[in-house]
Amino acid sequence: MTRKLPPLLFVFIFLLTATAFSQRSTRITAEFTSATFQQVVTSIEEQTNYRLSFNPSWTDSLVINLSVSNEEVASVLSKIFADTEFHYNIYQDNIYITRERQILTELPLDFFGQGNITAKPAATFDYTDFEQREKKKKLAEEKLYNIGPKSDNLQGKATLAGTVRDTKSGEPVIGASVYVENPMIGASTDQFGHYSLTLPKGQHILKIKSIGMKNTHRQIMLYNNGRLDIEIDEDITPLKEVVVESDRDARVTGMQMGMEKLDIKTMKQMPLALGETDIMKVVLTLPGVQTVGEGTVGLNVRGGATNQNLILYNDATVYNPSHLFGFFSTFNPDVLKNVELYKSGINAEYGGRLSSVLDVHTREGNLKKISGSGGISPITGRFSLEGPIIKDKTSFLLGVRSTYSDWILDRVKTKELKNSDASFYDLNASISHKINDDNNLYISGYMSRDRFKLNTDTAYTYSDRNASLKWKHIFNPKLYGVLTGTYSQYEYSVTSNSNPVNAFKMDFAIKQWNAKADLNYFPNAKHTITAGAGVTRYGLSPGNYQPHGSESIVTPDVLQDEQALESAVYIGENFEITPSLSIYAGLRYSYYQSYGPREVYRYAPGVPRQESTIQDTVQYGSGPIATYHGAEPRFSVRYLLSDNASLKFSYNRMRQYIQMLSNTTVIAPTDIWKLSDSYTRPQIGDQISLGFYKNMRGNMIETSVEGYYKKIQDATDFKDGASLLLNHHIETDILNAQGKAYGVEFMVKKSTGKLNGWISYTYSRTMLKTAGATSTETINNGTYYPSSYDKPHAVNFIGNYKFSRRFNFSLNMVYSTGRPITLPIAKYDLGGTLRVYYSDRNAFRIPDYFRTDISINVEGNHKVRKLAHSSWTFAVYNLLGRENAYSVYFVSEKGRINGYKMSIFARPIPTITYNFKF
Amino acid sequence: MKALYPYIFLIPVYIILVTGCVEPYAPPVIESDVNYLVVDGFVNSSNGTATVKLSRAIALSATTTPPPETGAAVSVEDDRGNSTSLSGDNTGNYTGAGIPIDITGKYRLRIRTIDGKEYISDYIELKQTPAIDELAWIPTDAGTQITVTTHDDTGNSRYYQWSYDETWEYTAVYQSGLIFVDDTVAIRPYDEYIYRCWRTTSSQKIIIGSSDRLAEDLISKFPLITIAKGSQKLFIKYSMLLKQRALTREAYDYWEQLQKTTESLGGLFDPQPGKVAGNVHSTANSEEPVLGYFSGGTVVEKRLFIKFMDLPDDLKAYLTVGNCTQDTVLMADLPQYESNFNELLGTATEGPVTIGFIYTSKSCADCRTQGGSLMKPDFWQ
Repeated sequence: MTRKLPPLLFVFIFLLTATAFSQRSTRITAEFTSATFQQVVTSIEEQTNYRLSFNPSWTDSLVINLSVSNEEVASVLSKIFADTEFHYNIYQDNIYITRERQILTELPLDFFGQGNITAKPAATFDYTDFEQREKKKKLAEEKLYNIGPKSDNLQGKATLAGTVRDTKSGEPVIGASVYVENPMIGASTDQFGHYSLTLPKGQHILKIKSIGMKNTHRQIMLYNNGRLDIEIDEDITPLKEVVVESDRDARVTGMQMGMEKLDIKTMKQMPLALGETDIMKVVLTLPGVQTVGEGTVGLNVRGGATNQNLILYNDATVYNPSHLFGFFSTFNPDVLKNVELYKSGINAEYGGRLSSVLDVHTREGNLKKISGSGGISPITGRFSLEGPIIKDKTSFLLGVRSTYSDWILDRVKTKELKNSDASFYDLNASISHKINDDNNLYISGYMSRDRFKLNTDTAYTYSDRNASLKWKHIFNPKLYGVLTGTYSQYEYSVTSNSNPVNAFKMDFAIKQWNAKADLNYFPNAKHTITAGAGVTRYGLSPGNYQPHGSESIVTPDVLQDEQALESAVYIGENFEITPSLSIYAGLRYSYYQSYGPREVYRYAPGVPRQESTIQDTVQYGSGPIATYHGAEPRFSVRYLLSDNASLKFSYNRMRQYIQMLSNTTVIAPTDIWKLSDSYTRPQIGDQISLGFYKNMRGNMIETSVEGYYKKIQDATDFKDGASLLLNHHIETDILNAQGKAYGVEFMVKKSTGKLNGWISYTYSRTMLKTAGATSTETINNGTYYPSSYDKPHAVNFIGNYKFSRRFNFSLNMVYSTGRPITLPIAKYDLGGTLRVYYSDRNAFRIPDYFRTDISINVEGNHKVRKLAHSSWTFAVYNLLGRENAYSVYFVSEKGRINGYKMSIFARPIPTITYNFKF
Repeated sequence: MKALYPYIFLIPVYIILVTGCVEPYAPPVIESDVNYLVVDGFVNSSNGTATVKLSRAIALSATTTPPPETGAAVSVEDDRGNSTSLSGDNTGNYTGAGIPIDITGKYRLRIRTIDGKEYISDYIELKQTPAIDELAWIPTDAGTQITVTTHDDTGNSRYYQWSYDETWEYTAVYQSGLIFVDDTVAIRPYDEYIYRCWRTTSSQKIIIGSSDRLAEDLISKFPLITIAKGSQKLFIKYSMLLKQRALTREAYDYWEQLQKTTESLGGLFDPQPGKVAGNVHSTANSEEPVLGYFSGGTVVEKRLFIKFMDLPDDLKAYLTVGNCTQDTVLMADLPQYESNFNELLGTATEGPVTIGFIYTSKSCADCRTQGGSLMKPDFWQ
């Protein structure tokens, strides 16, 4: 269906000019040999009263060889048009020749030019949904949209803004490219599907491209500032295909560097452990992203610690994105729209974490009809439901996911599993409401909860909750603003009741309130200005230890609450100096205050901070205790070397006022967070990066090289054997480390075609240095040592091969250097038992990591009309069954020292997942 | 298929708890100079004695045992200027008696090794250990669990360490009634019976507990060990001598760190292992690692007996024959009988005629092959 078809409008013009003749005959006799259609028409019009209306340019390709004797004209035309795309329709004395479709009695879309292109055509013919959409699309593409009040003055520029939405569901399309080619001016839709373009007045062809959506265009006549909402169709056939059309150009021509955007469709295609699409695991396959261990969601982005990632779920901060010790992430794939990971060149609107921003967006509910989707994998069942509350105005989206292993476990418990259980669930709900063209409201809520117990009487639960409320207001086509309020809460508790006398419950909680206002201003084609301000309040209960049960004689122990306020203002401007040179300059200024009431220990100066050197206690009221503030400049520049090659450079500084305290190598459910205070200074990170991007073969193959150097001040590090839980003087165990990280990332990506995927290689190092005043505050003699997530070489390969529309094969290969560990170097006898003595921290490495996964997606049939669309995914994780080391450790057993290598997924793990959508 | 059905649903749990595998791992051979001094010292304030064991660390890959440090000058000093020298033997053990003890005093260790280096410990406080209230056992699913209960009304103890000697009585599978001496068979004399043994071993693991977070200084039913069902220890009778010591907070931290980094590893969320700092330092070079710990105080003991007959039925297990077989050696073959590897049980007869002897392998008839001794301990009831 890619032929360009003239508008049906033609038919109507003919219709109006057609004239009626008196009744003669309806039969003709003629002999056509290599005749043109015009000759046939002449014969018919001579022998009958019929007058034919047709477009000669359509029919000049027809060659007619036919001999008829006193035959009905209808029959003659049927013979001529057999096996062609033409149709005829006899109405009184008129015969209308149409191509492809029989004549329509309805008016074409937006015939009266009222700018509402969503008007529903009256269905005279039994079109399928699909055909109707095709028709609508054609009509929309052929129509000329007048923007702004008509005037003769076509000098200067005007701004066009609007929203790009999915025709079928009415959801906004994020990251769609909206552009004109001459001159080359373009924009991407933001998270609301909003775009704004400043173009020279006059006629343009506006092109729209987006991942997984059909390309389309609109003809516009731009008289003045105005609005054009665009609906685009989902590309229905490649349900699981990776189509990154919009990003293809963006990689080269876009300002952003060090950014990866993943569409849920891309993610669903990848083979993953445990049969569940998991965004965090997909993100891990990107260059520059590492993790210390299999089955953990802790991301180490470009040498940053796991707590240095700002994970946003519809703008609300997520503190623990993991389920089941990290084997799953807490994001239900069914409600997700896309994920953006910023590794460098982070815009001024983001702040608060050093290394990266992982911006997770959920979809908006279907505005047109109720629909749902779900799936069953060996561990979880999930279901989501969405639909309009008020059609085309308000929609909802609900998602739920839960394990069902608990239920089964109860029935088949063996002795070993008797004291074990593990379960989780997560819930998502969102409502989006279109108040009017200029005002939109979004409400989103999220909750996840985990509970586990592993062969002990100690039970762990943790829960992440957040909510966000967003109001978007369009002031005019050049200016819009978003007001956002979010609330995040993370808490965990540990309960032990093996012995009623010692039974306890320990709780940790962090709460975060945030309000911000962001403005986007597009003064003209060359400038885009963003500005905003926000304030975040933190409340943290670092530990609350209480007796559990009436027999318990545990003394309650409550650590003092921590409070802080973080405020920030920012402004950033994108300036296109010449078509090939663009710069972005931004400045964020953050101001942080931790405040009381709180008691703070004072330590003797010049000696190591420890319990014995506490001199006195200072009691603070509700005023500020410690204040930190500073500028965070952000700068990027892009230079186009040619149409398909560019060079980019960026610098950014980030400040982080809240840190996670963990002396385990992986993220543990019992890790605590700590606000910066008089002793724990905020972390500051500076990164410069330089990249070269080149697309080849008509943007089919994208290549990129990005290098970076990063410096981190005051990263958190810990003394050997630090005790972090319920520690009233935690500053005695925390050290401030200096970090540096550098690396280079190579990537080749083929986005389209039967075979698509990417391969990347990363060389990176990340080092820490902790040189305190005394030896107990110094690690590895104060020299740089590799951090726990320093993995110099990493290779990722993701490949998909589409055998047919229903059958898709994926292969995923991951290699990386083993992570550093601290190995014992000596053994000694103490009390008759051999014990080990450890070397310098992280002086050795575990064996290299290599894993291969495959998955096969089988789609149900592609009938457009059916009850539900379903698919099966068969996947094998760790196909080769390689016993990748998770950790290496040494223990004293029966007086001897034994070394062990532990692997988590040491065997191939096959899974089957059933997904459905209706 | 029906039988398999429930197990299919176990897959998730299986994946998480079981697909993992733990294999022996041989670390890379690390060449470094690790000849660190190891000090394991204790001042017993109940009788004014001190024992210090000095040895040296060796490389992890070494196959030898850590060598003792002999010939050092070791003395215990208190904070009022008294010093008592300890006398060393050739196994690195240094002992001394008659140390003037003041329970409120502070003590430290001074060591001058044979190579002229001097080491000194931090001053330590002596801890008075409260009595053990109860040493008991309880049946659990995993086996017989032995627990300790203690308390200190003064609330000064708070941190405890336990060690134990366990002794158990057991028998060989078969009882040897004959003895092969000087190429002839004789009735085994009663005092040469090799059927019944007592074996004693000492605790290897660090067992520490604290009442730090409790309103009272009470350790209630603290689990020390669990003897698995079917263990040889409980076939007849078992005894544990528990030694309890109150620790200072610093000593407790030391043992806890040592436990964390040398015993409790292997989980998903292990802490990073690191150096565990003791309380002995080199006077010349504060960076030089000195391993081990010096502490002091009193020790209290309590003994527990567990008889097989007292066990609940589901924890009772009996000695099984296992791989032990019996064979017959004919009279004529007696010269070829390998008395070094076998023991004679009794005579083999055919009607009234003795045609030879029944024998079994030594490990099935001589209980000493399993580590025990024929000597019945004095305390055995």
